[in-house]
Amino acid sequence: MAFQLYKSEVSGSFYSWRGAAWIVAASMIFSLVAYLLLTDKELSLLDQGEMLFTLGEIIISLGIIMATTSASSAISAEIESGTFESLLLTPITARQIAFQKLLSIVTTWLLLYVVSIPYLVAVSSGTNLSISAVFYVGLYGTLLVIAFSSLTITFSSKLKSSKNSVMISLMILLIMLAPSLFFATSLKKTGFGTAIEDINPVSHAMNSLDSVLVDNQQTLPEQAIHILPVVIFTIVCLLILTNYTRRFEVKPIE
Amino acid sequence: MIKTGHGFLIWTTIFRLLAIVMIAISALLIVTGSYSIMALGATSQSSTTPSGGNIMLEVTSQPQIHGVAGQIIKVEAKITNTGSSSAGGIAYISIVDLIGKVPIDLEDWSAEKGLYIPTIQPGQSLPLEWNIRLVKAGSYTVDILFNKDSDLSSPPVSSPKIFMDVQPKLNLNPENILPVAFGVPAVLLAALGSINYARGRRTGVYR
Amino acid sequence: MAAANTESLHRSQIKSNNGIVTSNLSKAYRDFKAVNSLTLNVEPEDIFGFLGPNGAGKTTTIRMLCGLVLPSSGTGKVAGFDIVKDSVKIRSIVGLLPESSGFYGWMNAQEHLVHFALLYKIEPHIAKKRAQDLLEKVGLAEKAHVPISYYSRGMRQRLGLARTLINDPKIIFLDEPTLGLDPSGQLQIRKILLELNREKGVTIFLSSHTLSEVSSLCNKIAILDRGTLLAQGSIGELRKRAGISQKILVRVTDTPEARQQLLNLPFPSSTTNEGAGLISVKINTPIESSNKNSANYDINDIIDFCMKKGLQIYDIQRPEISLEEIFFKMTGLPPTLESIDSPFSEEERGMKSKGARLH
Repeated sequence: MAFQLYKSEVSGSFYSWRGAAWIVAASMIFSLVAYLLLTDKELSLLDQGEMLFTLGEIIISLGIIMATTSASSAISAEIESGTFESLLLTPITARQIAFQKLLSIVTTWLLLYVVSIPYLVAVSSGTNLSISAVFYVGLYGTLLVIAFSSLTITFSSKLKSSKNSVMISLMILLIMLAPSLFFATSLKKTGFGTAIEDINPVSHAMNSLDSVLVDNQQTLPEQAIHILPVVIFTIVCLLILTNYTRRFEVKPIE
Repeated sequence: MIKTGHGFLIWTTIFRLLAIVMIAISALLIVTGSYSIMALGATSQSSTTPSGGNIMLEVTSQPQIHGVAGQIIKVEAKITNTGSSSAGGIAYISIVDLIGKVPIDLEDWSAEKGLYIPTIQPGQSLPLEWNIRLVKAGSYTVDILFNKDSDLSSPPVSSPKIFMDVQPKLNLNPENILPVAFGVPAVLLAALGSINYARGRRTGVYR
Repeated sequence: MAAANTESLHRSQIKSNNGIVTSNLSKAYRDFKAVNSLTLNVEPEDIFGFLGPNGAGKTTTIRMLCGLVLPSSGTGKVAGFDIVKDSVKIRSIVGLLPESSGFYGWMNAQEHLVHFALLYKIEPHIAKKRAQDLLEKVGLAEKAHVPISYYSRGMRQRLGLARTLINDPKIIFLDEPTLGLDPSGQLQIRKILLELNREKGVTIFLSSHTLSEVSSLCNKIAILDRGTLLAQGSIGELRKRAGISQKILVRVTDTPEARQQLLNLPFPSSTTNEGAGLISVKINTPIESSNKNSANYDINDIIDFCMKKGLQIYDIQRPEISLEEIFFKMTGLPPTLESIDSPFSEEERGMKSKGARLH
């Protein structure tokens, strides 16, 4: 059956509480953040666009972290639990295994995204930003989740260790998220800071969100300069996944 | 005899209870609506006008300000050059927290902390105004000060004090977010818990 | 219709050719050679035993034959398909029960089998029926809806076997299939394997440390040590290759005259006083004469000698050389079991009433 592995992965992540725990935890975080942001609004401390941007950043970051940690054990957990050999014996190819696991992770992200929509709408009430917020958070979140998941599944299949692959993936993620989350605006204005921003797809996504929600530049042509690098990054990661999952071999007996 | 997953059972029970509590709170909030405690609106009166040398600072808005946290109020003043030569300098405000006994950081309170006046001719008067966001409840004094460019060794000219009383704003449900904040996790917990419970019954984990 | 005909032709071809052939098959990792120039020949419908100490390369060999690992050199064919070029076809017709088989703990047995059946592209309604039948066969029908995380070791092993059979394989690779099973479970597994072999002509490639299991099930055996094939063939052929001399056991009545005569036996032997008025004599026949006819000749010689010397024969036996002895001899692993000293006396072990070696 086509997508049998995908169906089983999605069922497994909810029946074993893995995926469910992420979604529930995420919704609680969104509740907390939305409440904090709106109480700040009561004190006129934050512009509504900035609040939406903060919430959007958190939704996308959480999605990428969830995807990376799930993807890190995509292949290596199967090896460690001893189910991989039996899976490889079936007619399903290595590439199909990798892509169906990728699809199951993206499905969990999409559920998380759907859960975040009421919060985006609530925080953007009274503005004309609701649709843009929902659209761009969905667009960048989905692209970055696909990209990071593809990369992490590749590490998982090569390193054959959940611990090592999650460490490497989170390090890459942290490096890419750091400019947006940790660097002050002034640091990003230096020549080197600008260069990092230009090549970093996560920075492009966050800057685009900022431009849409804070500066009100909501149309696609206005954001093309940011969308393109993110799409290219996603395609590159997918190509890496395609190339490195032509064949899986089991670990040698030590 | 199948041993039930003890830890699993505890977690599912906790999640179900959480879900019921959250649904109840959301329902209550939707029915009763949000509420807020509003203080009286800002009131203001005029103030007397002290002077310092040949520069006079006069507060033209009320000397007693009553507001609510989150409100933006306007402080107005007038600077007059009572001397015979022109003068220039910086007019700025300073806010002191009377309860905390500290001057406050104007970062969030006011965007325009200082107004530069290049020249004020003899006999000329200029209006000054600041928009102040009332960030935190408490009692404060507001001073308007002027540093003359030509006389940096002398203390600044000060206006009479403006007394500001900020009441807290208690809105537990800003923009009616609470139904969403409680409702979404509750619905999720209920849905996922039900799916898992149904499966547990089918597989014999739960009797 | 055409596709169904092609599939059934494919399967009938496989049935007539479900053998395994390798030629100088090798697998080397960075710093060691796991399998070294292995040449095997498993005939269709054989139950082939694959023996070797730990680390001999048995699991690596099985993985190469199933297409899970690429060989470094050499060739192999499983049911006529090349293990490198046709690994996808091989995977659809073989079953593998690995030594440590994992499961998805959240699934129950029924779901697990149906999941794999669907991965094998079996129609859902057939998959469900087949899963039920297999669970019945391995004795898990009553626990079919319980999550696998609640299963004991033995239950998981049975489920593993059921999963191995889900795609109706023509060749089955089994790595320690009865590990963790109680005696009745072991018996049940052996029964299933024999049924599969006799009724469906399934070729069974069995790797096990339980030598009694291998000797009772297998018609051919190969012994591997440190990646190298030491011997291959039937047990009889292996006995000859091992160069272990046939033993003949005679028990005679214990009398002073008998003891005196036994001191001067013309055959290489050892004697033991068994107690209860009996002396046991173990005679080693020369290796050249370990064929049936020569042994009969030796038995006759021994009987003649005993009668001439007035020894009263209580009984005389010619036990077969065990697979254990062959295995230990070929792999050079210690002991024959005789030289392992138990801390308990023979009396305590309930083996004999009293005993002492005469010489």
